[in-house]
Amino acid sequence: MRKIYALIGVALLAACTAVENESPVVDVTGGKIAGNSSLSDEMSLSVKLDRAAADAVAAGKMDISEIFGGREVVSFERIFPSDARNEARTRQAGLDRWYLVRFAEGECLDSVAVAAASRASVSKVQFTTKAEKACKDKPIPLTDEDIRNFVPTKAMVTSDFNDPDFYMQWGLANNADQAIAATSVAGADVNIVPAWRITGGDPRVIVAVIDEGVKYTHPDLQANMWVNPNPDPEKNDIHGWNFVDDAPISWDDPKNTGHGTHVAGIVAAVNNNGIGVSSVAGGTGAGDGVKIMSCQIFSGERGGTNYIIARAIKYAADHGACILQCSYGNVGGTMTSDREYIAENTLEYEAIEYFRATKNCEALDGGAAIFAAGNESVAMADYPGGYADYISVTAFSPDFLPSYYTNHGRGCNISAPGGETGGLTGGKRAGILSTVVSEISDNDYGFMQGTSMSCPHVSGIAALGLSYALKLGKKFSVDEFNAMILTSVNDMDRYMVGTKKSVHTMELEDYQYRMGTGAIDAYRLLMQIEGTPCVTVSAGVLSSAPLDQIFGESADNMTFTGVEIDEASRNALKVVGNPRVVGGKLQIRCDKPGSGKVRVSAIAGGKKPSTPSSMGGMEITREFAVISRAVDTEFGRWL
Amino acid sequence: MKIYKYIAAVLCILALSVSCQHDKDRDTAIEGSWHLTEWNGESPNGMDIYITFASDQTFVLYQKYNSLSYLKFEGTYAIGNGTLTGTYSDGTHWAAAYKYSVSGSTLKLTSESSAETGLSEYSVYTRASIPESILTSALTKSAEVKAML
Repeated sequence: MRKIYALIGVALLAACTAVENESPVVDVTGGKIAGNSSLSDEMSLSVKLDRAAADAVAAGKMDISEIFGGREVVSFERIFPSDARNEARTRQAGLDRWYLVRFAEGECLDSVAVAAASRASVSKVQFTTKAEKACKDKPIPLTDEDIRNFVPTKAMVTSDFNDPDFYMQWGLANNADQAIAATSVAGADVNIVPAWRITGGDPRVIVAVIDEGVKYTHPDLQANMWVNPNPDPEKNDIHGWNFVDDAPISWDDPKNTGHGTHVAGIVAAVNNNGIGVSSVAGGTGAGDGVKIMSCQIFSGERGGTNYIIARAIKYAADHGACILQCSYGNVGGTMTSDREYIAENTLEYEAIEYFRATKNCEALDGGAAIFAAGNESVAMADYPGGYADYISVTAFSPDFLPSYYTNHGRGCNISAPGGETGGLTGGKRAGILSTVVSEISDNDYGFMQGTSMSCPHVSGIAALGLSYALKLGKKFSVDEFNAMILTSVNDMDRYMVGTKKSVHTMELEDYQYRMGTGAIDAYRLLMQIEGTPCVTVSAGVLSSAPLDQIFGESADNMTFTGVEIDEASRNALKVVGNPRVVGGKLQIRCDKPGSGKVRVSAIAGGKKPSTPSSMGGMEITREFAVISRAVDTEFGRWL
Repeated sequence: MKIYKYIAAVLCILALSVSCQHDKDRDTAIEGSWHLTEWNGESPNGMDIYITFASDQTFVLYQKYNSLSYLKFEGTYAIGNGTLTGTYSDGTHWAAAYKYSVSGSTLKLTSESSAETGLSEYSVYTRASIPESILTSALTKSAEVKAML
């Protein structure tokens, strides 16, 4: 694809009247150009200089416009402004070398890009691209009439908290109430109630909401908003920053939807405060919710460009966030491989990798990036979520079936409640209820649908998991933590039979095994954080041990790629031959009672792992103990 | 009168006899709460086991080793000839009988060799109180339910 764009560049170069000739070498096939000029109307390019040029520009010894050989450069600036506290790691990541260059109207950006790419001092030229919110619809307000007309068919769901609208939050606790949808299934939720008895959150865990601005004055959000301990005196960035306008956070643009505020409420609306809704990680009412940092990348129909997103993500990394909540993406199908994504969106990719490499939580050695899979109903995830190392979240509805719009298949890793505000008998009640912007919706609460809504369920549960890890003093690598998230699931493939009638009729077999590893379960994640359970086998015989406690309820249908056992464990258990996984079960023969460690690898989402040229699932590895027992206990009992 | 005295004496002897018999099958040294600290010569890896042996010959087992949560099982135990056996409340016998020994604050259980494989295992427990968090959070599972979640 890079070659195609490079050739397009060459063609456009020929088409443009102002052709550069000063460069001795025109390296248009060297992979330096990312994207193309059709992706944005902006007269801007992002340019990554080599180290020497970047240092020369920074020292004022070189004018960046020289690179563009006389083209009229209106302005240029570092994409990631210098910041003394973070400059060292910014340099190490090479992010200080990125410049945003704006040109006069009328310039032919393609020819400018080709000319710049021909310079040895230029490492990359990135066209401006534009991402979309995963859901663009406005919320449907929760009205007094909705509350009056809610006639439950089951005992109302309750929790230990006093948030009055909890009973409508089927994504948190679903008891198959027909008032939500006639096809509701008990347990089609994230199993939050038992998890809350263990932890409701921890304010040391900061979730960056990369989205529209979050209404930080919302009565059900305010107490859980991150407060910048060191705000920039010129910006006064208290709860985050608006990277669209380089200004304080805003949410009242009439073309906003309240998307960011809805997402934030799913993660951390304040729990047990006697008003509104509950949230996944909003605490217990004791000021112990996780914190929301608003990193605004959309403002009405503006924003969403790659340099805005990249700045927002770096800000999140530099200001303490450990979870990147991203309900945005590039429309499904526009990119179909990791290689293509990196080539097309180098700037954004480097910013996300910077975030993932930045440790901001004692329980995690970096950052976790979580994305919406997309709502185009296509059989692949949107990028960036489709990238191998990022979690991409599909959406299910109260019927425990895929939501009619959800992307699925390649690149999708896990599923969570996204709901449907139309198509099921409950109408909007089958959507996701959360906080909204009253200036837009005339109400503080409303329903939305989309993978935009499923994604923050996973982000919230990840935040809850880190909260518990902090409580227990446990530490994980990002890969370990991702693997734990993706294996804390309940099976939903068993329901994928026949058809589903919603906004359109869905053939469910098209979705079977394509929604990721399964439906996320908050309680399972907390239990995994508490201690990975072991697998018990009988000594002296070939044993076949289920792996559902390690890999989640869908283990039977996962694709396992390898089993490793180190020499010490092999000796401790006196393992005969090589263990392997067949049908989701570990086959191993241990001729000695004892315990040892085994590492099993699998594909999280789909049957094939991602490769640079082909979109696929995330490769995950779980390490766990194998206990070989000399006594043949029944039902897993110790004695 | 003599006959009454005789009957009373016989009853006393019988009662003492029964009492002595009962004491013979009871070992107060095993009573109390224990925590698994060693298994086949190694630190328990990936498992956490507590067990309480009560004076009324009931036991309560709290285990977390093949499940995500602590599970609680109850039943009765018996001692005879230095061997410990038990039955869960659902009537299922323990998987093996165990030779046991108490030394100071440690209890060692060694399983009888498996008839199938000839293998045996041993566990060392240390006296410990069971954390309140486990007592309150442990799930009770019937034998019919898969002892997982």
